[in-house]
Amino acid sequence: METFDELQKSWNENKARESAALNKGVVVEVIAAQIRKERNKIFRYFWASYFWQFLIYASLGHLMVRYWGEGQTVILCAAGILMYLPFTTVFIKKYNRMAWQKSNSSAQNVLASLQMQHSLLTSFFRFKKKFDWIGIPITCLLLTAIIFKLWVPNGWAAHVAGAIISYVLILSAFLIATFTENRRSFKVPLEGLRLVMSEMQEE
Amino acid sequence: MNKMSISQEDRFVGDLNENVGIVHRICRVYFPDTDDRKDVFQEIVYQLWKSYPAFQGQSKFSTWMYKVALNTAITHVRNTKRMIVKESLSDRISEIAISNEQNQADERLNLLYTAINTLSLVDKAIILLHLEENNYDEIALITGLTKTNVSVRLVRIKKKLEGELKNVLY
Repeated sequence: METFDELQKSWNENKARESAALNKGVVVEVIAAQIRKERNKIFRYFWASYFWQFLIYASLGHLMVRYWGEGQTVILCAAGILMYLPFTTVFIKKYNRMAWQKSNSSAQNVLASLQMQHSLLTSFFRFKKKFDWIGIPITCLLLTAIIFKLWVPNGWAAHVAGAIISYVLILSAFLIATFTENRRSFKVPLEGLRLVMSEMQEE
Repeated sequence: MNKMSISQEDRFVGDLNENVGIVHRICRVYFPDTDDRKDVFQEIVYQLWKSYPAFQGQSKFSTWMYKVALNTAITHVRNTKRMIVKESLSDRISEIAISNEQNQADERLNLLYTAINTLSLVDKAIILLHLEENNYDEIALITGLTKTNVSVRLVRIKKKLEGELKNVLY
């Protein structure tokens, strides 16, 4: 093992030479910068994740106020909000739990940390898929209904084919965006985690 | 820095400084690019600071630090969208050959880092911990692998590295 021993020697010599000390001011600066970065990341994710949900609440709320007195419209809007609310609540709870557990797993051993990240991401993705299957068609339906109610004379009842085509188009756009997002944020990272874990578990 | 008391903060900075070389070397092993290394260094310091109040001293500070730093580096590699270019050894050799100011030890070290860069994420962690003179028990504790697995892998990794470096160094 002469070659490797030589390399080990170089490694040790380098260890002794390097490592300039950091003063407290620099450490504080580094931490403050990282906190800002993390907040921005969370804000971006939060904005991207909840934008459409806020849009639904805002649109339904607006319709309720605007058509206050028209029983059927108000009931439909209220039903929409009530139906969507539990999804948003669970979504926020799951996301917070995932973010909290993830940030508290860094002192575990490497394999345990990977397994925890995989399990948290899998659980969140499983929930998100259910949410997508139910939430997306309803969201698209509500958006179509709102568009026809507000901007198309005589509403969707007078333009059934147009309403169906609009619904299909909006649904397709949502599905493509969701598929891309799920692939980028869940499928690819999960596959990466699985690869590293399987490498670690092979004897 | 609101989670820790002033004395805890001072202790953290002291402990960090005593072992900061570990963070530098982990960054160098996982990130050949200097800018990436700077980002990851900061991320690791932040993760260490966040986890420090929970560190009760059940293990050596360095063992705990290896776990946090390796987990952060591996997560960062996985999350980096841009592909980390694996520099080939032959590229590295020609680069070193024309830089006269570097001494032989530095050249050896640079070649070693380049050779390590060809390994997988897990093998990088194992060889780094071995070069840092952690014993099999400590490597197993940090990585979560069994002691037997660590020893088997180390033999394989050393052979691979030696094979790649033999023709270059001798």
